[in-house]
Amino acid sequence: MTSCGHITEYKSKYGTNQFRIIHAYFIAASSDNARRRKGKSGVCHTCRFPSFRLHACLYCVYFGCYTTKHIHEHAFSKNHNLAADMTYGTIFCFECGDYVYDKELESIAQIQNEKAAKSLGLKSYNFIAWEPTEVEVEILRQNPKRRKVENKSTIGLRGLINLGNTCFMNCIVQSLIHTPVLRDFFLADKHNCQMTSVEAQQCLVCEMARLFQEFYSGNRTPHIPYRLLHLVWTNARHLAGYEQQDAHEFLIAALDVLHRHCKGYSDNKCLSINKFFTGRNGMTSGNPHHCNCIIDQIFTGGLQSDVTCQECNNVSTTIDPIWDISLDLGPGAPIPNALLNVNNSSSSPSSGFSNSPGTYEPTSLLDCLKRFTKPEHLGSSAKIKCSTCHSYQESTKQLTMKKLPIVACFHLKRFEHSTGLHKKISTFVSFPEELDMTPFMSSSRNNTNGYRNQIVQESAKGLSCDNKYSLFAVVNHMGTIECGHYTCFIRQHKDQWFKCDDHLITKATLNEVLKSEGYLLFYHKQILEYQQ
Amino acid sequence: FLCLQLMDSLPFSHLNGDLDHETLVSDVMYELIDDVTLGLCFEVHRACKNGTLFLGDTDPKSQREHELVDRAGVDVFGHVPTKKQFECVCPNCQRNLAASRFAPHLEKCMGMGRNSSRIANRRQAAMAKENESSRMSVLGDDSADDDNDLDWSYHVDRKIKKLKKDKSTHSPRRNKFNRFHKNGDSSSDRSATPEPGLSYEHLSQEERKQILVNTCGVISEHTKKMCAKSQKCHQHTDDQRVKVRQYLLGQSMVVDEDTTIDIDSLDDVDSSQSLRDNLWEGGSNASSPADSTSTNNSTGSKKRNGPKSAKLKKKKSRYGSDPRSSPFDFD
Repeated sequence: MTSCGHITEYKSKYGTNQFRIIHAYFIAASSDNARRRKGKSGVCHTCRFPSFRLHACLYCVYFGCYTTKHIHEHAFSKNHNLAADMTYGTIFCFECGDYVYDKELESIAQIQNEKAAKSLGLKSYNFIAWEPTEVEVEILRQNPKRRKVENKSTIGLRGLINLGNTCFMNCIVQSLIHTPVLRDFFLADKHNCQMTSVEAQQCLVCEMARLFQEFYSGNRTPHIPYRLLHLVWTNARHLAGYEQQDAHEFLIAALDVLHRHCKGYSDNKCLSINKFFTGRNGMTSGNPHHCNCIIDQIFTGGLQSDVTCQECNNVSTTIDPIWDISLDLGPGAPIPNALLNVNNSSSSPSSGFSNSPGTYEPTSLLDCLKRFTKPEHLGSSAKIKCSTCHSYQESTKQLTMKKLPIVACFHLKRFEHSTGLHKKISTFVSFPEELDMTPFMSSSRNNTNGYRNQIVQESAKGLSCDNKYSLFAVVNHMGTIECGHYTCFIRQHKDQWFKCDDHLITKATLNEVLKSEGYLLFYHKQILEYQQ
Repeated sequence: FLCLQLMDSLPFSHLNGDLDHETLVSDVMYELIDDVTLGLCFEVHRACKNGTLFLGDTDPKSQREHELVDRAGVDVFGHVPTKKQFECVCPNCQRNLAASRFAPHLEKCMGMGRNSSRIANRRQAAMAKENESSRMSVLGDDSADDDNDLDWSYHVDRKIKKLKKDKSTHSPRRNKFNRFHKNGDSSSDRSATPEPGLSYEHLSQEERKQILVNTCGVISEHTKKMCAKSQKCHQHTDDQRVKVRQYLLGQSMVVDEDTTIDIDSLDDVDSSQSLRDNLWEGGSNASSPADSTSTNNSTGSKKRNGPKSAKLKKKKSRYGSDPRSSPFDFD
């Protein structure tokens, strides 16, 4: 720290208490009382103006402006050569003619800042930017080699060898490696393996950590993920053997194994933290496996299902934890006229499917989401016993998002098997770079009669809100249902996209990404809140 | 801090008694902007004074080393895509093998997948019969299935399965083949663990023809030997069988680079064509119905990746210049 001799002199003579008081009351203003004082007396003693860049003399009670040189005059005339800026507490030394930084005084200031933030109810006091200590600064100076993830650098990019039709795995690995919060977790070495040394060889999370190390190592040859394949097949036997090699299935299986291994190998039960999942009627969806591991923190969202009894309008709510949202493609069922919102007859065609009374086929992600969250009449053959009126009634069911995950994965169901029809739906479905999930949240649900007002999707570039997402990875499948190949696009930094085709990594444009067919779409929340 | 001096000249209009709503709002906004800018200036100044301002920046050498390349024909590392073979060690059996064949190997090695139990059973049966006929066990199918290095083709596997019921190691074809093999082949091919393929390089055209009449004949890239299984062998495609016949018998033929070779669309020299017809009665090339043991869409669809769609991935090089590619097993 670059202190100056004058501060040292000052401290030996006056100690630090004076500074602490000045800071507490007039700089950080760490209590209600202090804020009032600061507001009232925060003016220049010479000109009575609450100017910009007021400074407080460290020797006596004097506040003076900087730009009109009132504080300078005071310093010169009184020989009081240290003053603190009243916005940030930075100390100006008139003898040095510059701002100086003293470690001891800074730590006192930091305590006051924390108090102030706390008293205002801000959580930011818990999160301070990292700073190297003096020793660390020296180490960094002596070792100038750096490896950073930045523009124009290949750090973080690496190809993956295809082990024999394992392109589906390679794409999922690429997507996970480039998931920002997950990447930060592993590069910060946050995984403390709970397994015994014998079992640790089987820990998929440890293997994941090693994988991150490989990717950020700066190594330019492709990585051979044979150990990963072995571990996944060992822990998810249903996947092994080429019977079902769907990238989506692999993703879910991988997340599941990672989630289990986060809490230890043999212990598959996780602590149940059900606070998030309380329904409106007080019903809880008890998922004993919901835990606080990194996978759950990142990927787990809550899907709310509301079933409304047609007779008594009672709503029965359940919330299920989900890791992804699977969206149907292809023609949908005609919507009964009763459910069409009357107001929509005059809305613009772009508002989507609610206008068309007949069958329709979604051509955008938003269309898919609208269909996913629209109220569905369950029909007379699927009557449900209502708990309120105790009779079997027809009902409507509606799905909405109760809690959004940090990373939302959308699965476009292109491979259709249900009707005995085995084909791939290759319809182009457009998807946006930025997505606002607000209209699909449970909170957007109109509660009066179970029908929801269709909210036209506003431009996502508008207001900043908690439900905005940015696209960061797209997994594509090329070919037919029998024979095909997976590739993916991943995003590094804000605007750089890369195409990953097994071991071949090339630069791509956003346009290429948005024009691709899209099978799995990964979105990341734009704003992350500090958690309790 | 000169820029800050300029900012200070903005009027505090509310102190002049001017209580216009809009001016108040803009005053507050300007104050906030000033404060934030000041904070940034302090941050930079402090970092500068402490010597940490550029400490985290990448050094020029590393920058050059990891510079991203954005040129046509190369990847981001500046590498031209090559068919370099990578190797790895199987965590199950500790064997060294080519990385691109790791997955099929692992499937068998771990005893999963549809074939494994069949293989295991057959192995048992073969071992029981070992005393009866030593000749059979040497080049029996089980070792071929068991050993990892033959190429594996899932897609055709299923198709062939439908056409053929039972593959017996006692089929007449196999007998014929064994006899032939013993005659023509050097014993150097025979190692302690029997190699399942046939070495062909030293064989005459006539001898090769004979092999192609009786067996699959596809040459393994890994072992460089011809496949000794029947012409309906699961592990190779009809496509490959056609190509190996082209390669071994029609040396002057040139294959078009980019197209996938379809049996039906070959427009080759006539003599080779008829020769090939005699050597191999190929099966149909119709694609198989998708495997569907799937239940419901909601749990995720079950679909397969067959062998990589060659059209999209790889260019087949002119086999004249690169004889390793066309008729051989490819990745």
